[in-house]
Amino acid sequence: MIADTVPLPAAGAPVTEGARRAPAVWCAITLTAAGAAGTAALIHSYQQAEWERGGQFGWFWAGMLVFTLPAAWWAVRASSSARLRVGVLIAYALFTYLPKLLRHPDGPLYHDEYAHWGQSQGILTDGRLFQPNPIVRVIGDYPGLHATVAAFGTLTGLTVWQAALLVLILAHVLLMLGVAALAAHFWSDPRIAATAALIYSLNSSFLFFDTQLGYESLAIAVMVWALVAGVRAMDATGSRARLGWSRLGWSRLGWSALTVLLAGGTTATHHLSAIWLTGVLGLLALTRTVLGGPGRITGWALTAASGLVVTVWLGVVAPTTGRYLDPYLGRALDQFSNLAGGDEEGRELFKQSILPWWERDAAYLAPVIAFLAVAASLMLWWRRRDAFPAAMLLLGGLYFPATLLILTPSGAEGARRSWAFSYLGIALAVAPLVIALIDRFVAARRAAVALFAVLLVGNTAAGMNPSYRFPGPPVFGSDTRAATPEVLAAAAWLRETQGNHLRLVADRYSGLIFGSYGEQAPTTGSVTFPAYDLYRARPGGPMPPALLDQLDRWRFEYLVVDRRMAEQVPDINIYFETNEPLRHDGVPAFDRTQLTKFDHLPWLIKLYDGPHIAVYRFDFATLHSGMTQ
Amino acid sequence: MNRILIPLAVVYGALGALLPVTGRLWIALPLSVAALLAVGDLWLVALPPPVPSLPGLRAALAALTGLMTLPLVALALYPFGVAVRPLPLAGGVAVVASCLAAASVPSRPSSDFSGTPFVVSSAPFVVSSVAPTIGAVVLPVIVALGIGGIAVHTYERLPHPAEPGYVTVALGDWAASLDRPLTVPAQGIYIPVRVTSAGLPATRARLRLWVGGAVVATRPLDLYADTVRTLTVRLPALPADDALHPIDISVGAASTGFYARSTPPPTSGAARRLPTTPDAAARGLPSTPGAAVRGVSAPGRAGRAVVRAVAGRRVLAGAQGCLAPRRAPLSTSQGGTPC
Repeated sequence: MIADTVPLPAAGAPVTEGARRAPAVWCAITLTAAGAAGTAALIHSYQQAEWERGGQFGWFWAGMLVFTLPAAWWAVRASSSARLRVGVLIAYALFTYLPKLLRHPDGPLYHDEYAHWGQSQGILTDGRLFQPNPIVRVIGDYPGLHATVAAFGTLTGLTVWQAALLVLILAHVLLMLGVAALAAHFWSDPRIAATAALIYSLNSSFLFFDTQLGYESLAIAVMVWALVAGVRAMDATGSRARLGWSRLGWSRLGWSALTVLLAGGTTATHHLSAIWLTGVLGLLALTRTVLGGPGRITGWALTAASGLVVTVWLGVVAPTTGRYLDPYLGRALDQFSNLAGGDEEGRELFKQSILPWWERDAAYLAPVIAFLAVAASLMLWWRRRDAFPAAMLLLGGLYFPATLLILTPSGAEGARRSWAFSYLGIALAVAPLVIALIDRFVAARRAAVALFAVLLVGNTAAGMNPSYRFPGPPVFGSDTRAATPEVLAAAAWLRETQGNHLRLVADRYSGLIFGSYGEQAPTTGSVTFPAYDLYRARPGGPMPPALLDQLDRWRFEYLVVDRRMAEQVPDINIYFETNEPLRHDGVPAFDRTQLTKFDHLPWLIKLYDGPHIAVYRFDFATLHSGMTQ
Repeated sequence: MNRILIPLAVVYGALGALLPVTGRLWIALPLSVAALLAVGDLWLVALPPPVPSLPGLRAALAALTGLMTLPLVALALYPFGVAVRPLPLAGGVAVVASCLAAASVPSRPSSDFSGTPFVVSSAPFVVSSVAPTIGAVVLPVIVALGIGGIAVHTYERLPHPAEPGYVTVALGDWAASLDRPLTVPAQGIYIPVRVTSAGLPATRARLRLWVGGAVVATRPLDLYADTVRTLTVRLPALPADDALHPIDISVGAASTGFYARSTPPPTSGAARRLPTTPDAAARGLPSTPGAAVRGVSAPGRAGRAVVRAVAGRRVLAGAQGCLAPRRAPLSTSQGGTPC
């Protein structure tokens, strides 16, 4: 199972240099043409969406498939050289970065991007790591991405956004190659390696989520390469006869050291990637222990080392991570048990979605196809019962329970985020099956093309909502369309006239802009700090005294009010945070008097006002003096 | 030995050349990339050769380890309180490279690796086997960068729908720093206000001063497209009842608001000069007792306008507003208006 040598070309007539180069030349020509055509279609798709002309979904997928299908053909084609496959995989990775790049080439757009951009900008400005982030609290404890981007920026003179783009494009390419490297280590056929990388690229995060300026985008590439180093360390024992003891010890030690180094890099960058890394190393060690295989002790040692790094980081450096992750898992499991018991209604998938029917159908089909592929791979595995495919099948198997969690409000996001990791197992387990089938059956090749397209479309549709994927007119309550000129102007006004790093209360969407471009420290509230109760209070009714006391003690200075909360329902149905105690039944959760009551409170000074956004300053001295109208 | 010395020399050379030119993109970028790739290669010197099942993978791993050297150095500097700046970063990377080279020299097995894309071995077969791999990596990168660059350039220059415009009103100068009820002197006070119009055609709106829920002054205000206007609004003396009165200044539907009371009887040495002229108001020099002053901007001069209180409305005793506009292009400021 372990490939120690390059597959030799088949014996036969000598191949001339020109004949060897001809496929590469044709490949370069066809993929350049396909890439240009695909890019043109993507641009047209975004233009259609921007001008609300319709048809953006069709143009988008036409653009994607016009490149990805020929690229996949060149990568999987039996007579392609190993170098050609690598070149095609690099081209494929670069092309699949384009949809995100074209979505907003000039700066952050997605919710998490504002947070990570601001965090990197902070390091570039003042050079300090581990500063708290106002938008996503926990990311300050994971400075790997921000330190990389800021350091690269400060050395080269690139802006944070430019440096981030270079780092992320490199990470995207490395992720693709890392999956291929992992597969190439176990399957002797480079075709299987290329196929595994292509299957992995079909996961729901590949096109948009793991290309954004977010810590997972870098960490997942480092994680995959840590696995590459880890399996090489475990399998170093397999080369004992060839290497000799001295070389063997050096080999194992070197790869183990690299694994731990990359595990440290992963941990310093992203919590979930580090936890998944430890889990996958554990699965590899477990399957080798149970089924027999080399490197069991090394496997457990690496699992322990990675686990130790993660535990120390979570315990000492980032102790708040548990509280941050809890709503995504603990509460999701509660909701799922309530759902199973009939005590709670589940989420309605694609409710009020503008996705075309064929994207929705593909989204429903994608898990079914994955299940059938994993089941077939399981049968294939049963004949030999090797450890590595067993570990990958177990990893891939996690995709299916996570898919059920998408029916719960709290679990949906966590489920989507897990797919990028569990799909690694599916890709590595299913790739040999795909090659075996397309080599034996001509019909399987056509089916593979169709399934490739369905999985790419379906998984992407399930993983990212349309407002993230396509541009369009400003939409209230959309992370990606919240940056209207009015909100940007309000944030700029506050920074210019009042300074930065000010504590303020805001809704989710204003908070994104004030916390990033505005350089402020907004809070959108939480269960323990229900800042949204300020907005919920009825006009003339009492404000929650404990909350006011909290705001005063924690030196909150400003209140931002977006009056659209009384006029519209947010596009993603969140006003402040995921678990907010507000109605979500298609009717605005506030009435206008709840949001204009601030104009008449003597302890609030209305400094700024626009068509929708108002900025108030708290005057707690007046509040505590008891002076009222 | 060349496998260690050459990348080490590249690291030292690139970092040495980089430090004087940090921030100069076109020189600093290739030097940074060269230094990081070389240090990434040094990370792998100690490792056994990867199974060459796919070419170029060692280069990919070197790129990754080189990149991860940056956060590693930044994290290592953190406990010493050293900021992420070019000099400490370059020093840290050089130290890492030196340590890796030092660790590799004594312990490395004598049998050598196959070549990598970064180091040209003395063995000719290595060069010939590496060159096509470099081609397989570099060619798609160049083509993709070309297509991607053109795509971004084209997309940004295509017409995009106009974004929604807005009119905003904000307290200006010292008034933007109000953090408690304003105390109004007997002769009244000038309130600086900033009105911004962006993305909308020129229009005319109604500027109003409200005291206690009643309009005490009003006048039409021309809002030119994409301009910032600085106004001074005279707030007249308030009734000497020591009560808090709501004050609002509105332009169309947008308004700012605060609470104010009349001046208490003067106390010995405590009274401060009040902004009783518009120039003074714009400079933010005299603040009322209880009004913090920050971020003062330089004043200028502009026209004069006085608006009487609207007839038929309840007007506080002695209340008479004075609304004086100034105009400036968006993102610029202009001087004060005598009123």
